[in-house]
Amino acid sequence: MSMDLKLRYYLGSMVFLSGLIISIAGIGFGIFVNLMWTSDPIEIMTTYSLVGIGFSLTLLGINLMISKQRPYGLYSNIAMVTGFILSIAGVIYFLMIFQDNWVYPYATYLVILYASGISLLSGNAFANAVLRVIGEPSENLSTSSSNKNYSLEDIEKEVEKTLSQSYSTNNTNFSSFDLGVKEDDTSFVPCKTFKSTQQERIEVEDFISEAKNLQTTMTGKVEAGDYGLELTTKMLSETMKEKERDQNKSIFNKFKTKFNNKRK
Amino acid sequence: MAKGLDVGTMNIICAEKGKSDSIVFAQQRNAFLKMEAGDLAQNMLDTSKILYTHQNDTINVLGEDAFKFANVFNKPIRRPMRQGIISPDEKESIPMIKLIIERVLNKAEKDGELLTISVPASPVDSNINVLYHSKTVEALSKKLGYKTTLIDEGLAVVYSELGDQNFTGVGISVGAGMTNITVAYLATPIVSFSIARGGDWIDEQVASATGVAIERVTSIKENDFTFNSEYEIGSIQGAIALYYDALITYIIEHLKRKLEEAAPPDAEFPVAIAGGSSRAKGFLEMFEKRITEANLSINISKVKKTQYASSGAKDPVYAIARGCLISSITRENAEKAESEEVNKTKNEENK
Repeated sequence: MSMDLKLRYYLGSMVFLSGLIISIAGIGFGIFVNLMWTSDPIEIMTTYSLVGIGFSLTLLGINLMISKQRPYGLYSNIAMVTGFILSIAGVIYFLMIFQDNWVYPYATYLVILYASGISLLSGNAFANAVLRVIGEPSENLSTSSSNKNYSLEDIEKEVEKTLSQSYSTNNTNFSSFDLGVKEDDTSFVPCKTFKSTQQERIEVEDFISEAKNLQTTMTGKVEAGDYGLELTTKMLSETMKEKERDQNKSIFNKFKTKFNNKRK
Repeated sequence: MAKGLDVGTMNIICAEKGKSDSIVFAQQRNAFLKMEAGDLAQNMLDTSKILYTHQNDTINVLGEDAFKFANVFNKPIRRPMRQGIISPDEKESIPMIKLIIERVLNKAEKDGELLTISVPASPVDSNINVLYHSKTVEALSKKLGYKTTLIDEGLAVVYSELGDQNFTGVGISVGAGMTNITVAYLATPIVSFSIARGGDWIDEQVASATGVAIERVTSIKENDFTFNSEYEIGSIQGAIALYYDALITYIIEHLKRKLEEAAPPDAEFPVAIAGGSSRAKGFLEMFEKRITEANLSINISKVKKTQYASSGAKDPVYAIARGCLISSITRENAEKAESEEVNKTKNEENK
């Protein structure tokens, strides 16, 4: 999603939310003043204008959220703006005629004005939603195939990975592939020294304690009498004993203080 | 008896447990030199007990002696492996590797003897495929009667050097052909990859920048180089330092990138460095400086010298073979414990 579309989406959400709040405020106000045919005109005008503006804003918000930049996006935007202007003009016209001219044909003009605005907004939102539903599968197909561009190197690495896994003894899906080695038919003749002498070797003092540690690390198991385990147990035991001694000492001190206080 | 084998671009090293509390290493240079055959030359080589093979009218001198002869005759050395794997450019690479492996490893004392071999992980900066190399080396060892397992070179460093940290940390092997890196948590690899650059890359770059022969650059790098703050303008040492620094930065950059793709646990990760190309004096200090500057997504507690390097006389090049040996011994112990448990269960059932 481009930045422009993201902004449009967030703006639409905000407009939709504010429209909803204004509509609820209008309905709330109507309930609060107990709106009836005989109510004060100001109360009627406030309630209906709030509901009218709120409804228009809600539809405008939906339009902003749902519409995309398409070849026909300009017409969609014109329809959206026209619809919103007509519906708001309807509300303003209602405020102008309600008190003095709330009769035929002014009321009919008002209905036509507001209804056409709302129709444009809702029709535009519906059309955009339908186009989006129709367009999505083909669009997904095209983007998924175009976004993943594998280079030759990626493909080779993937093949190598798959082959390595298939040859690995740990892989249970394939049996291990072993290269067989036939007896040499090369014309190499090793010299006498190969047979008469041994390879020179150096011996280094080394306890190779890592072998045992590696087994412990890999399996998580320790043998009975393990040096590390014994050492840790001893340290834990010492710590516990020390803590016990400290506690005993503090209890004894408390008793001593209490006893001294009583004596005093 | 369990064994560990490091098949490197420069050295093939076998490690096995000694009679007392010790490890026995057998090392052979993974290189050969082609020479013209002749009775005199063959007699001289036989008398000096030098390893060679005879083929029609040519002689291939193997191992360390090949380097000595290369210097004497001013001939280029041939390498059966390039960039960490069997060289596709060298026709005789597999027979040569086979001979060297047979020489250092020997036949298994009993069939099914456990062996762990280190192999490079898939490189992140090259299309090199390590599968053929791994399977060939495995096949050669199986031919000698071993039950073989392959592990990543970086993981072998973790097994060898990070036992005190519960096998948690970063194992780096800076070899001649490749640099292997494994980030492990409790002996389990989180990230494992290789970089198709190592000591050979430094030699090539320095040789091409300064116009000095590669063999001479290698010799200076191995015997007469220390990381200093100042070098003479145009000196080979200066160029070596520059490319060493470039390699270290390159390794750390890739490590940073790979760690960002993974989700490492919140723990302290010490770094252990091994491999022949990490032998240069001041390398670890330089690495520590660069890794501190990198601001990695894991908490690096320290950069650790391999225990063989810290003892002075010994070599960090043995750490990988040692890690493989540790893996083999662990497997051997586990198999022993398992069979004992099976026997115990059978005995109880019989009772």
